[in-house]
Amino acid sequence: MKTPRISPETLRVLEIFFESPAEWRYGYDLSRETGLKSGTLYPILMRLEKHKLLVARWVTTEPGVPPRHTYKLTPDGLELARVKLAEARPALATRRPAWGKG
Amino acid sequence: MQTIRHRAATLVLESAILIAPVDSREWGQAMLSELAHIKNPWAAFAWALGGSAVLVKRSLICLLTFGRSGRAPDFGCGNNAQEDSMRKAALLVTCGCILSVMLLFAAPAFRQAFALSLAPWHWVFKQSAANDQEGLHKLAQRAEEKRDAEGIAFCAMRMWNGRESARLAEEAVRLDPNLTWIYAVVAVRHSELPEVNQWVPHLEQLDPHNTLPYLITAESRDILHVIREDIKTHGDFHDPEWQAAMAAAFQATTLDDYLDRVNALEGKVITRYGLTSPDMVLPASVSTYSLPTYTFQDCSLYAKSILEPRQESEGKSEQSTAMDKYWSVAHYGQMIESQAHSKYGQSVGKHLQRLAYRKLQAAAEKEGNHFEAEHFAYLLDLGQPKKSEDNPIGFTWGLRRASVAEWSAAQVVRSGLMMFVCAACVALAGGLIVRKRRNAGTANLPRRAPAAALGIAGAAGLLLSSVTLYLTYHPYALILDQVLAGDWTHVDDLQALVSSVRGMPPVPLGVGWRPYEFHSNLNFAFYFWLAVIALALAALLLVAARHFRLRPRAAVQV
Repeated sequence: MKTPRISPETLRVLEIFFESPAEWRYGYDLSRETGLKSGTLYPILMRLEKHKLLVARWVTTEPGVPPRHTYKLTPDGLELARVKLAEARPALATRRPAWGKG
Repeated sequence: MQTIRHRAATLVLESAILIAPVDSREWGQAMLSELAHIKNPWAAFAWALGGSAVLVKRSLICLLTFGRSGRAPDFGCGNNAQEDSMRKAALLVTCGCILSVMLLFAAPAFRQAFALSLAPWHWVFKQSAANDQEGLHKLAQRAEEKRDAEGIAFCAMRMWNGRESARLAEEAVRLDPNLTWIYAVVAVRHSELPEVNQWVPHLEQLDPHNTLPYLITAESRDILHVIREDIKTHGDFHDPEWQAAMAAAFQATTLDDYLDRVNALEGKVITRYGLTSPDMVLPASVSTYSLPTYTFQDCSLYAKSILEPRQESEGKSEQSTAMDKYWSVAHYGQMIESQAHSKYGQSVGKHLQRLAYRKLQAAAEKEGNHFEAEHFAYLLDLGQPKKSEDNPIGFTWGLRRASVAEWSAAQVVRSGLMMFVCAACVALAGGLIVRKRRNAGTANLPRRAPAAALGIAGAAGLLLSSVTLYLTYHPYALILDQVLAGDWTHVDDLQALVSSVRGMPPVPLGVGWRPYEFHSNLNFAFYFWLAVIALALAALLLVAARHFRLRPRAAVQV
């Protein structure tokens, strides 16, 4: 299956999921952890879900509060995250700040 | 308890969910459910705005690409590659056309043309002609607030409402007595006003040698008698006050119609208030006469009263007196012709000279002075009206200018109307597509091709009519620029266009229709096409009603 375009923001989302693959995560928590606004985060989640790299479900957290959408990477998603993060890490490691001493 | 900002955030997001494509609504609900867990109200609002932007963007993409079953194109909207590429091409054409029209609106000339194309509708929607001068009324209000005498005088000269015009004129003179001449300009345009009698002495004091105040007095007497129905024709008229006014007029040595001052004042006020609309910029001096309307008849009648009684009893001394009278009429005509700024005034002067030269020629022949008689015959022939001068009222634009202006006016009005029709087609197509999108999940969906075709045709028509409007008006926009720069050479062409547009019916299907003739002149072509349009609209409504009644119902979304 064709994989979605992996932007730096998508990579950050994948990284968060990859840290604890079994954990279901809420949208607002993802937003806080990645620093992405809802307008950026949700299109990424939608794309991942469309490519079956992400699975979503509704959970009821407490009575009287609307159920929340939670997300987790599928096995395909985890594999993609592993590959893309592996590709990105050397680049991230060698990248130096433009204003650094070098 | 939710704060107002929390509630506002919820409302924003809920509204976005309402218009979101079907397959995005669950995501919208997901964002909404997170709102309850965001403590900071501003963060909640920012969250809602970001989420709404995502949903609105998807909704727009789906709408513009004629999304099927509410699916956005990036998410499996198309059936196949060919359909996708056609959809993209259609989207490109539609958006390109609409964008081009929006860009045209950025051009001031186009905005002027568009506003002008709406002018005929003013007659339909406004209760009276006075309401058609809203811009002028606002300008008058501004000028009065600023106590700007020249600005007030500018409005007084152009106001169609006589009472308001008089009030403004008096206010302008009160603020600046140097503007007393404004009374003459207003009196010429609104000679029915009772204030005219009070203004004339001021005008006589301002310039005792000017014939204009006396002509104004004569016209006010004419109007008084017409109102009282004292006279049937001018030939029966022997009012001593009228006689005195005309005698004073014929003894005056100059004619100042104040058009030079009018033009100077208009130029200053146009610059001061940054006026750019043709309605406001076009000079008042071109649109109306610079002399009272009855001047031609008054002068003609009075000249005849001088010339005719001397015909019979002509002794030697009486003959000399008669010659003096003939010459006085001829000189007065020469003075009027040479000093009047308008063609109407010039035609009055020529007419008086013809009357006098005819008498002088006859007198010379009677005396046996053939050389003089031939000379007067030559002058008489010289003063004969040309074809374009046949109408003494002064409508001497000539066939060519009037024809071009009327043709351009028809184009402007038709283009403006077509813009509305095409915009309505685009809106209708958008509405149909939205409704079809809401039928998500149903089998046997209605075809969306007609709606798409309607949208594309509407957008293309919108562009075409906009370009036609712009190109038709463009030469006149250049004239307006010249006028604003102080070059009034071609202002008559612009004036002719504006007058023609104002005289056009909103739906220019017939020829020769004028708003004020609406009740008196039945125009077969106009009513025929009106009936055709009404029937077509009724048929369209019927088809739409059948469509919405028979269409399959949308499946309930959970």
